[in-house]
Amino acid sequence: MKSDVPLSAKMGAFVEPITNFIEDKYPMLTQGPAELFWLTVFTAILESGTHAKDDVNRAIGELKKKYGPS
Amino acid sequence: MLRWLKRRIDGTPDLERFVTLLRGMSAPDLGTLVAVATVVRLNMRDAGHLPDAALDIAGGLPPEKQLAAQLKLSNLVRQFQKLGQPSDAAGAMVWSHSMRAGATPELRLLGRQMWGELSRGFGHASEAIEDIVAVSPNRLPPELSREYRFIPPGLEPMADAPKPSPTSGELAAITAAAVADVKAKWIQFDSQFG
Repeated sequence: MKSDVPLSAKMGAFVEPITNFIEDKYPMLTQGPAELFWLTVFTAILESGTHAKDDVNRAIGELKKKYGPS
Repeated sequence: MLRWLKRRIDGTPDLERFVTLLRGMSAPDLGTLVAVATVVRLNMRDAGHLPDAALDIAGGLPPEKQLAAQLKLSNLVRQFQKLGQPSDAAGAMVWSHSMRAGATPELRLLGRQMWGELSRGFGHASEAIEDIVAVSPNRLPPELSREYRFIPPGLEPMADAPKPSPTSGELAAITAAAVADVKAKWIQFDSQFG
């Protein structure tokens, strides 16, 4: 995979496998409001320290624009 | 003598013991057992010894083939035990007990209880499969990660009573554990991009 993949694209690609994982291991988090699921995923990414906080927040904004309610 | 023979044939004490054993196991340990059992089933299926129909109550396998599959499984359990491989033996036992429970109405309830316990491990089975793939010297069935949630038709666990909502403290603990797990998975995922 290439390192020039935008962070929002990487995070988007991460969502599908992680959704399955969370459904399997923490079903409670997928049964409540969607915000709880997203909060868990985004908090984990922010806490991981792999990318600067501003970059992660920008990518979250892009994902919100793409997938969020219009 | 007759009572002993009946007990040996219907397998009730064996299955009761097995369910009791499963009840005492943690969810991660059950996940490992589910993963091992899936490897055993897929290998036996690929070898033609355990077709899916053999594990279906309404399966329609001719009795002689059903019996052959049951004997093959019983032999496999003994073989694993002799080789000192208790995990593999337990994995094979899952299917041996499932076949008995499917074929014997009196054992159906115990069979469903067994799958109720095993299904507690489903959430951990994918991780156990990753571990098995990492250490296994042999090629494993490629469909392994898709097949671990298989439950023999007719042995589905009974629906649980509705669970009470978690307290805010419990929810916080669950969320913290999920964040830690997702963080580890993200670091691994992100590292693939260089």
